[in-house]
Amino acid sequence: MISLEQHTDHYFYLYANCFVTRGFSRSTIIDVAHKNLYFIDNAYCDLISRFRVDKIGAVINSFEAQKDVTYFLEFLNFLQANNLGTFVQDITLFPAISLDWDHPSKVTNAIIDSRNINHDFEDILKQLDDLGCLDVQLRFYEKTEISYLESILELTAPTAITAVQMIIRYNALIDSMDYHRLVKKYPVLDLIIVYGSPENKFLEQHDDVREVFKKVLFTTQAVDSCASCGTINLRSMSIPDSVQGYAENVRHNSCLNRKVSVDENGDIKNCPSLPRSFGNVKDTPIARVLEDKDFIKAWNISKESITVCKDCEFRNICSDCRAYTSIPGDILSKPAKCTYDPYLANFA
Amino acid sequence: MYIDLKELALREAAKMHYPLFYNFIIYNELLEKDENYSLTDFKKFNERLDCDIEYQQPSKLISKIINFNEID
Ligand code: SF4
Ligand code: SF4
Repeated sequence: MISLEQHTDHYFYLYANCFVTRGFSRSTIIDVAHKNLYFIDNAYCDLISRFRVDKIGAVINSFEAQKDVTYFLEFLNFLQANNLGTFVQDITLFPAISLDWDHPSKVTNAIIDSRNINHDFEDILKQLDDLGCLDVQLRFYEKTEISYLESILELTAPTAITAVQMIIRYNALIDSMDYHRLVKKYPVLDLIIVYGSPENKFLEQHDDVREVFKKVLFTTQAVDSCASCGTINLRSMSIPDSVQGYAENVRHNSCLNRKVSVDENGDIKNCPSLPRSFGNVKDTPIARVLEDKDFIKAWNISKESITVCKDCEFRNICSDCRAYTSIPGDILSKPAKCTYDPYLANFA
Repeated sequence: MYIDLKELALREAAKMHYPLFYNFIIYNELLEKDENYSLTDFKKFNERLDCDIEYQQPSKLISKIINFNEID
């Protein structure tokens, strides 16, 4: 247990990898270094905001009741025990970390939807590569052959793309181990999800050295089109594993920032589910679309500007959705497929 | 395969001027390649960028077309 006398002349420093988000009903502390989330009462959130200004002694002196001192001591113990901060003599030696965010790639991630048409994947992947795109998700709404998937994966060989995910329709003619073999053969293939499968199951390859998990996931979930996208629940939250990732969530749109999508008709969009096309990939270079201010606008819709979400304690780890909103046509309203109510602090 | 970490030698006088964590600067000694395992499995050389590219999991969810709540 911490002794208060020992620390009255100290400040409490919340480590630079820990961020507090105040919600309407409660607050969260997000520790991006350990990918942990802690719920705290809003009263404690107010206390943390004083840590940068007041020494422990000054905070204690402001309490009127002795029980508050006890609670405060417990809270400091909780923070220290969970490695969220420590006592320091001079808080100015630990300036607050900047949350400005930028990335050398013009595009970091992309979705390509496909249904019974053969996109010119060679051209699309080359264009994405030229823009510095790292992660590509391919979503197929028709049955696909392994050889077809393989031919697309071959196209990534000369690129600097670091992860490809494939979401494909279940095909009873394909043995599940064939998918596993594909994942093993192409290290760039991060994940295959087979939807419409008769059962839910995981195939996993665990590498002890790098702790890389290559997964093949079968789900009974039915997917017919991009309209299935936009689900928000606790499982769709993701705690970024870096301060940069957290800063991107805070400053930009956590789904659409630096994203480009090609829908099943070849239309270039922020996301396949959004109505506006910025040209067809057959005759419009993706790089030209990025010069359009309207296209870039969606990248910068942060949670602070979204009704309801701005009061939610999950807002800095929530992956958001701007295509399906609770007020259709209002791009600044809460995601329609989110069931969380930050005013009651529960999921419906 | 193992990675041998060594503390970088810093002059005592220099240490005084660094924040605490610089006292523990470490570097990796380059080791012989392990015959049984190669990290090159996760890397490839990119001609255009003239450097190695490392395969990585995406840093965030690219889309939410799969509802992971329904899976287990
Ligand atoms: S209310 Fe908004 S920020 Fe909160 S979980 Fe739902 S979508 Fe995410
Ligand atoms: S904006 Fe919504 S529909 Fe579009 S990719 Fe993101 S989650 Fe999916």
